[in-house]
Amino acid sequence: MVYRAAYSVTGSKHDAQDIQQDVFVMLIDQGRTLEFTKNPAGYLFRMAINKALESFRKRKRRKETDDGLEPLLGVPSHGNPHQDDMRERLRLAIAKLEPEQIEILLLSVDYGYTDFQIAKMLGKTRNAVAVMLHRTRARLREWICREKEVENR
Amino acid sequence: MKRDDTNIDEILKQYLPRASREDIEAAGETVLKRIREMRFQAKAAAAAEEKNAAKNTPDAGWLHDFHIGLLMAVEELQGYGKPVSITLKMEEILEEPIVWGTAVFLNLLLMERMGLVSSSAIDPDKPKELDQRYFAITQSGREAMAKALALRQRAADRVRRPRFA
Repeated sequence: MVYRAAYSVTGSKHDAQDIQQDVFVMLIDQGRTLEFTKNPAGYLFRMAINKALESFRKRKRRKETDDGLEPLLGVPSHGNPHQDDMRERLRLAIAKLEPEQIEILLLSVDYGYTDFQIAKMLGKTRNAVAVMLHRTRARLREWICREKEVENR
Repeated sequence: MKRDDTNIDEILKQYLPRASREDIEAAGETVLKRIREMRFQAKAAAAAEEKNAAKNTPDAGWLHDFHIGLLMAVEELQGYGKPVSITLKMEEILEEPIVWGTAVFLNLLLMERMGLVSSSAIDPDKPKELDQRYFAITQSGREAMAKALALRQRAADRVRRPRFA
């Protein structure tokens, strides 16, 4: 679950493995916190998303001021520039979301849970989840389109 | 007005990275192996560190702001700092951009030789990938940093104190 979430956010096997390792090492070092005991799966899922976001943003920042120390490792290219471009755009758009939005988005899109199931898992109302999902999709659409427009100019 | 015909569900379905079951299982095994190795390495490194600390008293005179910032960054990351995250932490501490990340990397290697920091491979199968290591500050490193900071404090006090008071 940790690897799966981290991979969906970073798109890099290499980074997802590092994140999985960091999460478990931190868990071993911290011991069982109250938050973890209350909802272990939810805690790990959220931690994986937070770490993945942190890692993705750092990598992006690093890429902008890169002096060649760390190349982009493990981000697969699929040989089709259009597809690679769309993947990258989607990754960038996801990285702009709040951790909670990513959490709900992944539970819905990747894991296929219904709004009702997600609401139960996260202790929210079904309505709140549906609204958040709707807004998240709208924001993603907006950011992806904006990037497209900038590119087409 | 142009209609927005981007189908976000289709994009998510097609382009959201999804890990395969094989990848997930392989990653789980690799990470478990790495954690076991890391714990073992950490114990061995701690024993070696104790030995070294008994032998060496670090000389702090040569440590400049850059080196102190580096040691502070390593310490703040509590043993989970990689060269890249250490560089970013240093930028935070020194409040200025580090334009030459390689300098951080080279200084880390130098400090490791001097016993001020220790490192362990993130992936035990790739022990030679120097930029893929976790760095931790050693007891000698902490002592050197404390000495350097005290030295600076003394120097600052002398400057501030009126000469003929």
